[in-house]
Amino acid sequence: MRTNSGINKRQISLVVFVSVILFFYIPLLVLILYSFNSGKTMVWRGFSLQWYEELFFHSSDLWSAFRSSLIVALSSSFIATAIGTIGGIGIHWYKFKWKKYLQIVTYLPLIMPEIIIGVSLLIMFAWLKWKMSLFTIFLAHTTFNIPFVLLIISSRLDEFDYQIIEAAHDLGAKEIDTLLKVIIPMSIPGIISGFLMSMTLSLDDFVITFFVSGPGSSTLPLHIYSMINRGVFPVINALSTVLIAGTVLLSVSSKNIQKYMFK
Amino acid sequence: MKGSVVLINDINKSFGESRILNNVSLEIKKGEFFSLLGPSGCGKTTLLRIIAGFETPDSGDIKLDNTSIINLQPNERHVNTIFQNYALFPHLSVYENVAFPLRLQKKSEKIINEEVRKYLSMVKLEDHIKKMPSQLSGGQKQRVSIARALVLQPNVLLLDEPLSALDAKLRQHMLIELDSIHDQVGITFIFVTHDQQEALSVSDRVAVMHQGVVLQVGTPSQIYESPGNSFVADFIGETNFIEGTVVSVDDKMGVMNVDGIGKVNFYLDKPVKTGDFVRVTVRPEKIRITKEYPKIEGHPHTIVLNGIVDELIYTGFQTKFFVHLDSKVLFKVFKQHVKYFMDETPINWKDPVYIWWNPADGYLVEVEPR
Ligand SMILES: Nc1ncnc2c1ncn2[C@@H]1O[C@H](COP(=O)(O)OP(=O)(O)OP(=O)(O)O)[C@@H](O)[C@H]1O
Ligand SMILES: [Mg+2]
Repeated sequence: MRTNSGINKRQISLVVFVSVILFFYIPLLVLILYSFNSGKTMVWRGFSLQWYEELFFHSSDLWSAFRSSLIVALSSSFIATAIGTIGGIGIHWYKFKWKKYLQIVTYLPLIMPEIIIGVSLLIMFAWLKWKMSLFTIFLAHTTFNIPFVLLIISSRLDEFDYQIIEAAHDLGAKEIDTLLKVIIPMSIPGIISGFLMSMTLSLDDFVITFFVSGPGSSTLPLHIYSMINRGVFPVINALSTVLIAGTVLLSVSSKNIQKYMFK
Repeated sequence: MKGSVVLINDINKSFGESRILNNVSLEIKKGEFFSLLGPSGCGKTTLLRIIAGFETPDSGDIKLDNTSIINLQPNERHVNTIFQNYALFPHLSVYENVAFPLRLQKKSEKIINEEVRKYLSMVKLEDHIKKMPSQLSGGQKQRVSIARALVLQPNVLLLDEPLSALDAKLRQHMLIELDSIHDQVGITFIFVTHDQQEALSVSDRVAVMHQGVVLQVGTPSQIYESPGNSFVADFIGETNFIEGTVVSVDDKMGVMNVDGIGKVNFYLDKPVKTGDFVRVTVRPEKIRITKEYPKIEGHPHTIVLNGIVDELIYTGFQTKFFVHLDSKVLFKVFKQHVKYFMDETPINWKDPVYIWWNPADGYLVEVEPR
């Protein structure tokens, strides 16, 4: 008889681990596999690269949506990171009257359902009589990215001691020197993670973008959704495979970048 | 010209309802190694922060060489601070941390290089120039912060418990080094500590603070040998108090009557009248302890008491005896082992003993007229 429950425990956790991996990766593997299928349906008809050819040479709409996504992601992340960084530093290091309430208000969007943010932005743009375009998408993305950047920057700043700021003053730094030469450089890891986080959120976003996009201003997620409606799966499989490869590359290299920068 | 005279004039400071500093006035000499010593929470850090400019006092003035600096910002005062937790810039290397104040002054690269290397070698960190603060030990971080504070050649260096985060051995070592750095740069040091050993061993003068009030200012030996009041006597080192009513006074000596002990002689360190209540402090290491009645011919004023050893603690270089007198009074007596300990006739637990001291070795700390 086996009485050693330690082994059982280990077996259980192994089973859990393996099944999580399977559930998580099997769909991805299936998707990757079928991107090389020569048929159009979910029946395997042999290996082919025709969907990749379709993707790269006959999907100009998709690529323009991809370009829009990138433009929106880069610009909104940049602005959101700038505003979030300044805001996080302001909230953290400086004392002012309504600080506590401001803090609560800035974090609210994090827990608000996306659909509410989307609808409210839509109503606001309609009220302002603005035409939905890439610009409205950019504004919307900047809006929902700021709280994330704030959160990341604040938690980074929490690790530092106010005495560092006092030390800088003590050594002759003026307010502006302290900001530019101490506070911001010290927050760089947070700024980078905030920017990457914003990029991811922005590239991913469907719900909010759905409300604030107009004709001719589709982002990649919106475009993919419309493609599924039209029933062209295999190209999406190919596209997804490319995106998965891209994501893996990016996360590996960003680890390396971080290692290099912050040893 | 190196170092400044620091005049602290009647500083008061409250946080909310509580008075943290109470009419604090001090005059610190040019180039002096001056310590602020007091128990936790007595306001040392607050006073230091007022000198550095991080806190504004409610009233009072601070002068450097006769110029008031009370309205200047921290970055405009020729005063630099060593923070307790080092406060190094985590994103800058050792070299860049020390170069930071020079870069703010837009010094040329050549001067920066010379100065940084000079001060890093003064704190013996030449070999760690390229490291980041996270790669340094506590002692090394402290050295960087010292170099960084000195590189601007301030007139005054403020040190807030700079050694408290280090282990005992290293603390001793750094203290000696601080002392030698002080000798090299020759500027005024104001050193905050709650450790009386630290304060006594390196300071030119010490101010003892308690609850926001300066109780006594003096050289280490003045503070130790002639404490200004019972608090100072008790706070600095260890001591015994004997108190009683004065029964007679002549021109040099007085005699008091102590409950349960009887007549005890003391020197008149302060004017005393018959009938006054007096308190005398006697340091444990100045009291002798023997099993036989001591030979005191020629020293007629020697005080001899007898009791039982209640407890003894052997600490290597000395043994601490806690002696119970008949009257239940407990006396601390420290006996130095100047010879090989085992050679001496040992005094054991519960042994009856005589303890004795010369009245000149006691100090009259307090007199309450009756
Ligand atoms: N910013 C502040 N607000 C309110 N109270 C304060 C503030 N700074 C200090 N205090 C109070 O002032 C008193 C003195 O503090 P301070 O830091 O000067 O003591 P300290 O002598 O340096 O003690 P320690 O040896 O523990 O460092 C303490 O009771 C502390 O709680
Ligand atoms: Mg303190």
